[in-house]
Amino acid sequence: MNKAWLIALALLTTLSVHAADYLRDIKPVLKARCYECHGGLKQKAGLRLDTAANVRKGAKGELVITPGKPGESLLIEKITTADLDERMPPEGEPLKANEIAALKEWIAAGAPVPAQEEAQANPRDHWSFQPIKRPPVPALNQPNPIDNFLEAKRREHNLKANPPAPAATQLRRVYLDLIGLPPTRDQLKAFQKSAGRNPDSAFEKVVAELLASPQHGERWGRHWMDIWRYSDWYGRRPSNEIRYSQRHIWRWRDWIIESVNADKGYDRMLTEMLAADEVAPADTDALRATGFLGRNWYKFDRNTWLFETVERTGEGLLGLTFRCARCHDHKFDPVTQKEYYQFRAFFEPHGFRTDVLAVGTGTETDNGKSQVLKDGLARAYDAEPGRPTFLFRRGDDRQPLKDDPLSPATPAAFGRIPLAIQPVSLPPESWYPALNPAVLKSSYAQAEKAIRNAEASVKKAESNEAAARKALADFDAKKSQPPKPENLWLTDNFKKRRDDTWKIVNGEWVYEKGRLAQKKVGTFHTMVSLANHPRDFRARVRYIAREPGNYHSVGVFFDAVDLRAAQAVYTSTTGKSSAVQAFHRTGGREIYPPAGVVKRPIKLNEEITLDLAVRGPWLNVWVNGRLDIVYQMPLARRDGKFALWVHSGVAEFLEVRVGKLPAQFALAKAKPGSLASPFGKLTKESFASAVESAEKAKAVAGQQLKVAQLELAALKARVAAERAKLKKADENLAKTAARAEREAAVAKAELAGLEAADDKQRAAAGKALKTAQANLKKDDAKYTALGKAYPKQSTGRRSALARWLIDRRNPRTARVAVNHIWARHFGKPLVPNTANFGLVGKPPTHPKLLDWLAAELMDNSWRMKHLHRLIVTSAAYRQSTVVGSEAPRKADRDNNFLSRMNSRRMEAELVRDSMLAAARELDLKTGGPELADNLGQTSRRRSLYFRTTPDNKMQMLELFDLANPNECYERRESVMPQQALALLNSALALDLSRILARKLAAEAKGPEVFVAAAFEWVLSRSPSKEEMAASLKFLEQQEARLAKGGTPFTGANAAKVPAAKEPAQRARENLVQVLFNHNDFVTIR
Amino acid sequence: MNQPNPFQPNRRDFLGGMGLGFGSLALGALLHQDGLAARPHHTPRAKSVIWIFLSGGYSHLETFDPKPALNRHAGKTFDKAPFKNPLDSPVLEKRSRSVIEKVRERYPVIYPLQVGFKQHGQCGVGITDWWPHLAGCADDIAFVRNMYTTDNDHAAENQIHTGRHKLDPQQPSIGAWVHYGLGSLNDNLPQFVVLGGPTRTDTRLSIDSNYLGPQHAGVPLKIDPKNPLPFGRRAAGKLPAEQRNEFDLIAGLNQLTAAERPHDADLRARIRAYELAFKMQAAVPDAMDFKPETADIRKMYGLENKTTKAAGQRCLAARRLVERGVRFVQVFPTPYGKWDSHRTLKKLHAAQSAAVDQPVAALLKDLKQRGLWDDVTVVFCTEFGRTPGMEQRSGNKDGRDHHPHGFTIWFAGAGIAGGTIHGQTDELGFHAIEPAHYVTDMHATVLHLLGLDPEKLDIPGRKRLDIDRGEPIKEIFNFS
Repeated sequence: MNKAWLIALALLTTLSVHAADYLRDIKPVLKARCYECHGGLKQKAGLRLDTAANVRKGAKGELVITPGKPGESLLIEKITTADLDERMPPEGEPLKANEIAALKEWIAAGAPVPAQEEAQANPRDHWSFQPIKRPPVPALNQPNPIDNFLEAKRREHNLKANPPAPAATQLRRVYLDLIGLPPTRDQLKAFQKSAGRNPDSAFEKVVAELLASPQHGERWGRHWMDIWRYSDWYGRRPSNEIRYSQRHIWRWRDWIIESVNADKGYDRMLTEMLAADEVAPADTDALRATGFLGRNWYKFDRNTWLFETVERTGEGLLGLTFRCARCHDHKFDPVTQKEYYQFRAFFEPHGFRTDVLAVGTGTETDNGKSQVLKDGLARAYDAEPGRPTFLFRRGDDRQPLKDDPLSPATPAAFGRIPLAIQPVSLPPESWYPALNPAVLKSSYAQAEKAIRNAEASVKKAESNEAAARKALADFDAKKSQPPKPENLWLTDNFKKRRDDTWKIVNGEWVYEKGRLAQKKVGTFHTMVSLANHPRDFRARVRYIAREPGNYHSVGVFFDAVDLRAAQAVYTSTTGKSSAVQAFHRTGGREIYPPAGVVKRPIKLNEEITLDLAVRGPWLNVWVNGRLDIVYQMPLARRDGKFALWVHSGVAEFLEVRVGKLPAQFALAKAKPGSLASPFGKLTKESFASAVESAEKAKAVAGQQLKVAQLELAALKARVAAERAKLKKADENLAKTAARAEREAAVAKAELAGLEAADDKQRAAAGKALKTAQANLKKDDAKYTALGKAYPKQSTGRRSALARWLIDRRNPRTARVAVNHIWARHFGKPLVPNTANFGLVGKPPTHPKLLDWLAAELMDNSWRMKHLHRLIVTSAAYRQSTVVGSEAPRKADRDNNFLSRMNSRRMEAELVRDSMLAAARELDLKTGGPELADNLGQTSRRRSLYFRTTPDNKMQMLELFDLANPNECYERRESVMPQQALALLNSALALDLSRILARKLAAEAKGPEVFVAAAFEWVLSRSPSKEEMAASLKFLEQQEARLAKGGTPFTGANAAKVPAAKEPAQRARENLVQVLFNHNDFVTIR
Repeated sequence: MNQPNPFQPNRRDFLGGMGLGFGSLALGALLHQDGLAARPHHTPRAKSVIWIFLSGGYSHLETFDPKPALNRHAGKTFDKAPFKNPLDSPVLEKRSRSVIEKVRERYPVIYPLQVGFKQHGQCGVGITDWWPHLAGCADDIAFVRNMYTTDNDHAAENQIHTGRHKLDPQQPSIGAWVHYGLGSLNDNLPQFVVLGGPTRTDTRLSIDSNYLGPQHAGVPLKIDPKNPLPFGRRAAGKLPAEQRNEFDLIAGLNQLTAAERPHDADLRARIRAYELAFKMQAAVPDAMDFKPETADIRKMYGLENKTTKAAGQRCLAARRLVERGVRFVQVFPTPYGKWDSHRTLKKLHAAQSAAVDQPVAALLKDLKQRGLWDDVTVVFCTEFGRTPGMEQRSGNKDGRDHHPHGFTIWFAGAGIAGGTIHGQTDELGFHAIEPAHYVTDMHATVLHLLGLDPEKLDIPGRKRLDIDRGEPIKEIFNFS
């Protein structure tokens, strides 16, 4: 390489056949390596190298080149010197030998200046730093101002607008755009009718309705969640360890939706997101907005957290790529590294906390280290007002410039907008959240609800007791009957196989001689019910254990969610010893608590009757009519299946009966006695014992009521004492509070005594009661504070930043916002790089329209619904997507000038929500905590409510390009085979197709009507003649094909709704599913 | 953001002229266009890559870089051993960046090797006694003993796949780059397949495609022919003919729309996607069905043995996939973090080596006997090595801590000179001796073998640094 260059140089110097050309050889090098410090943005040492003339001019009167004499030129010396402190450029590799040679040659040739070379513009003159002025609307006779701007551009490029799209297309487009759901068939029909009379007013009416719909906030809220990078909390879910974002941050999501629906100004939204704690410190609704900041929280590194805060605020709200300036002055945009850290200083003091929303909310463990509120309000506050901000050398947090602490300031290039940072004194309800009236209200409401619940329990317990007493009085042993069989949930005498009831998991289960035999010796050979059994139940199983085998264990599982976790009872015998035993499975492993074992004789080849009674945690087990086990189950009860199993043996089953446990049946809770099985005749003892437990239940309920009443009283007393304390502590009120609290504690301890299930619990409760009673005798004024207290002042930095951001003079905020809005209506932004309005980003296609829209937004109190209405009622928005003749398509292949509407693929959420809506299965419940992402196939809620984090995404949505929660200023629109598989094979697609087909078959008579209705529900349009013909043919042929039968695909079925048995209906289901797979379903035309 | 959308109309107009009568040729073209380059940048030496990743950080010392000095000086502190104290090195802090501040202590007491070792093969490479099967393949393997990374916690697992430290903005993973750069060799299968992982959601960055788009992300497949990929299982109870008719109607209806919208490239792409989906439903389970494999093969991979079964199944599946033209198979033979031996290193490493040794050796032998050796490059790696010093945190005394400063990985197969021992760590196995290799050099090596130039893969507006792209480790190539 080097050698080659020596030869080349030799050739150049001797022959000069190929003189260096300034524009070709010099300027690109200067641009790449020198302009950053010696160009339009900066002129270090007074030197500009952005034009040949400037190079010749030199710095402050001193020449840097001497034309004709490269040897005497300072520039050459600077780039070639061996002294590294002197050498230019100071960063990176030195200039290459060929680059230096070319420069020398150009100088040697007299440094000729090309004609008309333009100097590099000052980046501060870049369009997006200029103030927003409302441009005049071109007078082109369009009713909507937007169309005048667009038409002006189209004329410049000899383009013509498309005609309006068909009414149905317009309707589906605007429904999906404004509320994220397709129109119903009725809405479609009604619109087609009214649009026939007056298309414009019909359309405007629909737009007004959609903008007023609560679903509008969900649709557009989700857009803003993309831009503001909403993420639910994540970290390590199994150990409940939060590492990113905030717990309960769904409240911010709800705030976004509500704010959009309320048409809150964009200015106010930004202000609350950045500084609700300063501008509305006592407003718990507004405080939710600061989730915008909390989302950046990162457990392990505060600098990472603040870097994100600065950079994402820059990208999302200002179209400013701040990130480069973390390590050095921005290379293209007029933003210095110092300005980056000055911007950080706005956020430096802030921290995050979770406020109570009701006093008394419980806590849970975060990763075994700290206790966190089970529910609460995640909100920003200034935790460390005095925390200094330093510039990090090369962005390295280990190298802060500690001598030079920085104050908050905004980048100078944004113009001079005064910043008035004033500390904010916070009201008590802000720094002491438990005293916030909204919090108190919900605390009282919670306490009052507990009283009401307790009162209801008392009433119920009283009537139960009366009933039990009457039953005892009426008892007549001669007439006594076992509880009635119609209560039974499952009975099977095993005369024949019942696939609708049982599933054989493993083993060899054979129906023979009127019995069910499990014939294979092995490990837990199991047959499980398809449905869940009643929570409190009685069960009888009759069976015979036989040879071969070792343990000859025969038993049941219940509460079996899957077979990895379940409760169990069985009998077994090895010949030497035998027992009946209760145990449980968890995580796939058996746990055998000693309390569950009862030794008793069990014989092979003899019929055994195993009876169970289960209520709450209590289990009673009878073998052959004798109560052997009285057991409290340590594993929490859950709804699950019932199963029969044989382990290490073989057995025959004669009968199984399972049913709800009759109310009057009272379980034994202390020890085995003479209590009869719930399958036997009821005895006088069981009625007497029912009275006994009803009495106890009444006592417990009465005590619960007392506790609830005393706790409300104590809460009120503590609030009074704390309120008084804000002015001056009041000893009497404090003493009252202390006493009220202690009275409640005594009542609670008494309640624990009543509820104690065993001696151990009774002893503990007794001890607690003694302590509580001793405390009651004290006469001091110590009571529990209502909650935590925080700093009483905020720095005012973030509210100042918010004011700067929404100042009419800020050149970016409104432009960035309208660009985001425009992009989501048209599928294409006006400024191509939505997050970068800087010098590297592309200029707007319609600069005047952009500014006009920005001015329009600001002049209408930043209300976005106004802008939405304006945009969607424009002719441009309503035009057809059909690509016309070849010529205009080629002239504007990217459709920059909107001579047609853009077709788009639905966002992930729309795909799922539209399927649910078309099938009329959508649950329109709004708001609330995030739903687990694995419920997406079964839940009917809208997609934006499911957990979304970089670690947790609903699989189906992810395939359709769900937003990346770390960064998503625009969605992608990929086309992948996995999407096809999701629409073909997912439980959701199968279930909804079957449900919709069933509904349509019931409503629509005849195949034509069915096909038309299916098209109208799924695609929001009528089928064409060809489509109708193809669909009818399909229905006919598919029905015939299905009637023939065949070997189906095997395997577990994910779908919850079974396919229709009747071939004609099944063909209709197929057709509906085909329409969900139609390209026009996922496409917005 | 200017994200590449390969199905955007303006990039696909070349298909427009083909009208609606796509044949399989057009489908192939479309799928190739899935990535940036339909053709590689230079002559490829390999067609596919099997990337085996052992999660948790295996000790380089107890695997492929045994150091006798550790036994000689066991119990001494570094400053008492007759070598330069590795804790004085200027790169020490630079190459151990904590995600969690100040959690890593230094452990200076030398801990002896927990297993014996011998020299193996013509090349005489030292391998510990826990790897009898791989030791037999020593002359087929190129060992790289001077690797380093910079995250001293387990996010290094993402780092070795993406090249970025956890605290820095993330990049696509190596598999995604391959997928993006080369597209498909097979029209019926996903092209970047993941087996056995990632087992935890917080490690999914290791197969993520980031800004390249979801079509380039790794597709985790289960070793279960009945249910190998998400939604890949045909609805139970549907008849094959019933589904075929559905597909036909979907295609028919879409064709009707296409006739009215001849310029709609997305629509054409969707028509193709449905054809591919239809085939994937059969091809993916087929690839995951080991029934056709002989008893000898099953035995060789250790499928009949409980210890080796899981890794054996994944290695065998990897071979079946590359045989069918899958470009990049990322195998996690052991579960998340299993090699992380802060204590009881001897027990943990012995068990994990036993699980992996035979299956991986079987894979190498099998590739050879099937003539795939010159088509497939195998990479074997972990996120970092383990400290030469004994970990003493909370009373630990029989393990080693995380060690980003030097560790060993290896390559074999297509383009690789077997029996190469490249690079070394110092006498104590602490620092990789310069010039050391950062993890992206592994990426550059793989891409180079596949005929790709990392620089040419860069996306406009998503500029990467040189260190993100790495340099190929040319010393281990069998060509020049």
